[in-house]
Amino acid sequence: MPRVLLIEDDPSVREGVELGLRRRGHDVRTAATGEAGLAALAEFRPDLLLLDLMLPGMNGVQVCRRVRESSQLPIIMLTARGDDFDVVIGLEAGADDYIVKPARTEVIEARIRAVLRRIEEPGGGRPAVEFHGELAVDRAGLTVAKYGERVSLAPSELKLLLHLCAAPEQVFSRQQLLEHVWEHSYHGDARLVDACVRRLRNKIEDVPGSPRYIQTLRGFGYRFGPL
Amino acid sequence: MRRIRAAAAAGVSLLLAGCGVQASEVVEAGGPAVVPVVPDQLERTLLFFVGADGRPIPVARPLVLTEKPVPTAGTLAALLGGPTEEERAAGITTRLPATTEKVEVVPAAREDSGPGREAGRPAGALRVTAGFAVRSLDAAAVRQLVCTAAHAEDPEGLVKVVLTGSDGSLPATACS
Amino acid sequence: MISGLRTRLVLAFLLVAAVGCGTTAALTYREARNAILEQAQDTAVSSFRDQIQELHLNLPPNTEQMQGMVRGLARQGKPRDWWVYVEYGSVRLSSGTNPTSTVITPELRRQARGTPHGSFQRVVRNGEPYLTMVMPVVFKTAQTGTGGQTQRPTGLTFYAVMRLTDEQANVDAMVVAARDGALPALAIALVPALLAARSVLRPVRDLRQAARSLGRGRLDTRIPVKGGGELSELARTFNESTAALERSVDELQRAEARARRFASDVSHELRTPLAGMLAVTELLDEDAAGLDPDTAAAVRLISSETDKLAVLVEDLMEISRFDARAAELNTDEIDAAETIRRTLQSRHWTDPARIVLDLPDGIRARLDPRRFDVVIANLVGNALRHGRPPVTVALRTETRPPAPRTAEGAADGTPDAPGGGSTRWLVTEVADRGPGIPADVLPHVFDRFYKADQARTRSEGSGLGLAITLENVRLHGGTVRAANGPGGGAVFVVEIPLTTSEVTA
Repeated sequence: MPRVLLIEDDPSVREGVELGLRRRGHDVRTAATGEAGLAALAEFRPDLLLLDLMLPGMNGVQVCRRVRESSQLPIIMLTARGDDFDVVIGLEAGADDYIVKPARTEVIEARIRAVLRRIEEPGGGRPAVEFHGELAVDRAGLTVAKYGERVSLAPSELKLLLHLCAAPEQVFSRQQLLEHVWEHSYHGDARLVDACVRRLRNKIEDVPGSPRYIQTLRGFGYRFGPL
Repeated sequence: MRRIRAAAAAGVSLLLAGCGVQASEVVEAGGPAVVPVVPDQLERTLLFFVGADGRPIPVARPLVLTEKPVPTAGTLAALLGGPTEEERAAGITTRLPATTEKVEVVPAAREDSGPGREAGRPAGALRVTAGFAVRSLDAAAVRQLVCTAAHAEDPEGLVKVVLTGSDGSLPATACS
Repeated sequence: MISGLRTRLVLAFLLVAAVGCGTTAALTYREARNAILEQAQDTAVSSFRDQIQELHLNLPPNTEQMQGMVRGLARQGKPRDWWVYVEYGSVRLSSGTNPTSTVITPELRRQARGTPHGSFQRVVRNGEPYLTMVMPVVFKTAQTGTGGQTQRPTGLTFYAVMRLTDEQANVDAMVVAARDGALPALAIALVPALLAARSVLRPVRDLRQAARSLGRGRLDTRIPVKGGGELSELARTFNESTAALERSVDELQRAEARARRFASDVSHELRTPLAGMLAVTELLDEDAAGLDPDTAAAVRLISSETDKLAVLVEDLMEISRFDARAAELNTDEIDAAETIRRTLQSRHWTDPARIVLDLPDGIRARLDPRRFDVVIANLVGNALRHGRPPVTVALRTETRPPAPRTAEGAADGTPDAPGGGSTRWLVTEVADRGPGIPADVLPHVFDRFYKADQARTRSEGSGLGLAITLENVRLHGGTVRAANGPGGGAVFVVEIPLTTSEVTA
């Protein structure tokens, strides 16, 4: 069962979510501030970070950036809808997904599972490492290298890239990507996709402004290539 | 609106009132024309006849040089002689009876020096005595006698005249 | 009859100008005409007299002499030609062909006979004006040069008849001049009239503009108050009333803003404890089975009410964001039919006996998928709850001129039609086979927490579903209408302007 670090300042939410997740078998550690959470990170070594955006002192977005500096730990933000601006900032900072409070534990757990789920392995007969231009994608090792140099990708970024390059030149609508990569509903928040694509481009494209690998088809969605 | 219309109508009518040249009443304009008559006063006898409408028409007959100055009685005798043929042709008539009887004239100057015995007889009146009846004469005829006598006696003709006829006297009268 | 303050002011001004011009012109004209006539008359009479006085007269004058005089006088007509007539006794002579004149009136003859004066009379015959003069001739009885004063009539009377055509022409010319002068003067008077009307009407215009601006919601509109008088009094009153109106509207707006902020704050504050509660409801549900029945029921009640409370708070938050104009539209170009199908699928509304679909493929629209999902889910959920199945969901596009439509029970958004000309609309219709919406409820179906049945204390939804639907449609620039279908049952029609062209995938 995954180890979850919950950083949440409100005691009732902290306790409630901890209770619910623990009941479902998760190993939960909580922290009331960003600073305490970051301190617990090294020692607890969680599989996933549940991060409240509104924190006293160091806020959620800052914590998110600090974590991303050294790790590709899956991060799910806890927000209240209406903090739209914070959601975008949080996604840009590297969060993989977000959950709107209040939420039932089953919803939270479903998101945790989705983020942690590995992308389905393609059928046999495919090489372990695919080359797309200067990119080397290792589906088995879940690593991506550009010019032979490893690119560290957050879980959502890696899953998006793997999904897109599994079917090069095929157009995926945002809704389809939301469903398949994030396991959201069809009507979910497409900004998740857009933010993730931006982050991915910054990491793998030579010129993020005129992308080569992840191309936009205005009005339809995204596709991988053609190179 | 009705007031405005009325005002406009008044303005227009004022504008139109007396447009052009209108007929007028008879207007007096100065005196008559004063004309010199020939022959001059000293060389004529002035007789007053009448026109068909009874208005006096003076006639100036030249004097025969030898007769000068003609006594008033002579002038009156000429008046009683009536208009000449030429004068008649111009429509001049007389209202006086045709007579050759002598007319007696007592000049006013003599009366001035005499005693004023009769009351009511104005001083300085010329007395003319004719042989015919004078009280039955009409006003025009009386004026003929009075004016002719007055002018014969006085160039201005201002002297009063008392006419006496066979039927009595008329009150003293001036030529006017 | 004559409408418009300006017209009336200008007309009044012109009337005054016309009366002024006219009176002045008429008086001037009369004076000038009289002067012209007097000049002509005096000249004529005195020159007639002077010329007669040049004559020397025999008494009686003979006919030839008189004829000569008449001709001589006629030649010397002054200021212009005249006919001369003479009467003496029974003699009548003239410078013309007729010995007597038809123009000279009996009054003038009588006058000549009565008084020893020259006289004249203006006569109009056949529309032509004449000046007729009479001059009796007298002589001095005393010798010439002796200073004697007595004058006696000679019995001779001269008449003269002169046309006044030139004077008539002059007078006519004056009328024309007066008219030609007055008309341009009136035209010129129009300029100050308009200027005066403008200056008089400026406050009125200011007032009208201010009132219009007020009507557009500019409550800070004020009119500059200049000087005294009735209009500035009116402006002052207007300003005072506007200030009062602005104060009370401000007060109302502040009160409403306070109320909205309160609702927003309350839901915000409720959210955090709810988040904690909601996270543990599952725990309660799972463990309820092991508790004694009463406790289990109580625990389940708390659990289910927490769920409802969470929905209510979430809806309140959503409404608060609309009120604060903080709601954002995150549009994406999507297939409309697919989007609706997914909405129904995710809520398991897929039974063909209950839901009938008429969703043509290939209609692509730029929509906020999450908000469109809320709209469709609310309408279909509403139809399933209050109507009877089957519920029909139909999709189509319409092209029509961008005229705002209003219908019974319509809740208009602000359809800002993109581009000129006609607009294509995405029309979604949700109809049920229920009893329909009562007429008195129809105008209120989109109201917040509106309860059609006052006895029913709480509906299954939050009571905000249709209000949120309306706000979401408005956010898309569209409208949503509620009506009753021809075959009974409620019909909700959502119309959203299509901002993308139809593309066949």
